[in-house]
Amino acid sequence: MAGITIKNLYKSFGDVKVLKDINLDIKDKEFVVLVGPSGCGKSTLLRLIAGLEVRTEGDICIGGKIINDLPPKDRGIAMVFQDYALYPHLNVRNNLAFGLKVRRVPKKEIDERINEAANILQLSNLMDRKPKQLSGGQRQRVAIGRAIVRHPEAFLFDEPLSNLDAKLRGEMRIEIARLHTRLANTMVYVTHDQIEAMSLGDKIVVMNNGIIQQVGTPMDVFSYPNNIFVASFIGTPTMNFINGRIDKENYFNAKGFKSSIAFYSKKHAEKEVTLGVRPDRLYTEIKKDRQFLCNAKIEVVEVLGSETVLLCEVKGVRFKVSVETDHKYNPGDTTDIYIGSYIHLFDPVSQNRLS
Amino acid sequence: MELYKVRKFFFYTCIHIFLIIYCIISVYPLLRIVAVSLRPGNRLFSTNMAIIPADASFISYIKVLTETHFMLWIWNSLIITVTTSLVGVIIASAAGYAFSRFSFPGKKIGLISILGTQMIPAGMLLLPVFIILIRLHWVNSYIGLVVAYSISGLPFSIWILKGYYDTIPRSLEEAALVDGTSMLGAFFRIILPLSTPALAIAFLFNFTMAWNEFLVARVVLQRSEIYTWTLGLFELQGQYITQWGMFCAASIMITIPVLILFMYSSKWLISGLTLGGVKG
Repeated sequence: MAGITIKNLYKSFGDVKVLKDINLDIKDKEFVVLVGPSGCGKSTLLRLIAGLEVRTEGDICIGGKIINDLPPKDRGIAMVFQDYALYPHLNVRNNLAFGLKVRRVPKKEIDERINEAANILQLSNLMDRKPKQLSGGQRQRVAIGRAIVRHPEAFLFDEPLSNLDAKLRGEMRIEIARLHTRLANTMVYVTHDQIEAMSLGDKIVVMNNGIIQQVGTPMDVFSYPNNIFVASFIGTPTMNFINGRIDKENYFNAKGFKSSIAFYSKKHAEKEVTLGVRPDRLYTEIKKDRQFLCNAKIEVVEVLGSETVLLCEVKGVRFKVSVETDHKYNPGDTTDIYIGSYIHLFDPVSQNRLS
Repeated sequence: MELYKVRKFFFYTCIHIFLIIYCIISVYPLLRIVAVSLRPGNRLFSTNMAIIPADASFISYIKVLTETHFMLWIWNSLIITVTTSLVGVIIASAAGYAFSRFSFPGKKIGLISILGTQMIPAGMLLLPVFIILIRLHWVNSYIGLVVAYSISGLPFSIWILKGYYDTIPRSLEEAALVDGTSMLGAFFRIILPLSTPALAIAFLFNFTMAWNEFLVARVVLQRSEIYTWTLGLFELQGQYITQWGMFCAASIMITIPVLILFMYSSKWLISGLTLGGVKG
């Protein structure tokens, strides 16, 4: 078992800089999720750790040892690929055994490890099947099994659930979480799905444009986003952003919006800001500790089952408000909107969080 | 509705008539060869239309086997053909992999150049190949012919294999690399076993090309003891008289190895043609 440290890592493909000055410390037995939109460099970072790409600059250490120039087989890692990458000409047993046979592990030990993995992942009755005879979920389990039998120092997952349907994805997510508890191993998991990131990770690394935007626990990242990108990427429905100005009385002012944010320190008074507030922190009913924000027109009512999201509009600014399912609103209605103390202020120029 | 059915019937009838005529045109010469080979004596121009003549005998077959060096020619052809096919497949499998997986300067030009060599008629290459073989002292030897055949068969084989490798996801090799193989190990353990259809088609292409080749063999081989069957058959053609019965009997016997090979590998051949053609 080992931690992974990445220092000043750069990766370019020709003139395109894909990763810029990546610094990351993954502790032993930690489950770290790299999350970000397509093309943000998260898969490239994982492939660099695996040794499937060559770094441009910087160092990668596993277990305190620099492994920059080691081939993938000598890095002590196992990887689960997005498309499963099962060997089509081998049956499940031989797929699981492949890595062990290559490493000349004694046959008895191979059998023991395969049986152990098969029991963990409920593969015992599929051992003689070829990959094409398996369902998507079964293939993914075999791919995970192939990683488990190797007893690696760290597991790398490259969007392992993205090819599965929503129901199976949910089930496999739980299986992976169980697996981490059971194996207590270092795991690095790449996904573009923020729900997967939030639910699986001990630590989330949010990336965009080849740069790490924020590293933290799921609740840290959710509650204290470093910038507008992180705030907009993490959380469903996404955070609302309203550009405006804080006057000297500590009132947030924008076209159609006015609200006291007296609970905030006055250090941002008389500054242009972007107010960020999650839809479930906007309210249609006044209560103690809630401040009037605006009077909005409801354009769309989205029924999601567990909640309903109102898409509202005020003088060209659109935002979402989550309400209980037993609401009384219809498209075209107007309603007063209130905010509580769970708001975020960002610098509209740098887009960074204002402390 | 009725009109549609009539049209459909007419359309399918026409297609079937065309296919039947086409089959007869294709098969008839072959049947004539069988007929001539079974006629006793040297009766090529007999007007008898029977495929199996009334006085059919295997005398021509027996004569070919006993009065000529037929088995030696077949043996020589087999050595040259199998070696050519193996050499061709081994080189093409590695070259195709390099073209499919690696980026290197001149890759595009290399691929186009390889394809370009297929545009040059074989006759034009005869003289330079012959001169090279003389310089290497490979005239009148198996190796000379194997080299000449391998060179001409390689472009097609490389393109077929490159196209096939392109259809194999790279993640399979990457998984093998992570699992503990080297790049070469991933090629041998994963890519080659998966490429059996393309390897089979490359092997068959080289085999039929080398098996049926006459022109280069005629130039390179001058000693009768290393003649291939094409040269041996040519020997049966005398200045004043040709043993047509023996000629046809030998022709029938010669098609047997290729026929067996094609029947054995027809499944691979079809899948190889389909899959290799997806990309590349």
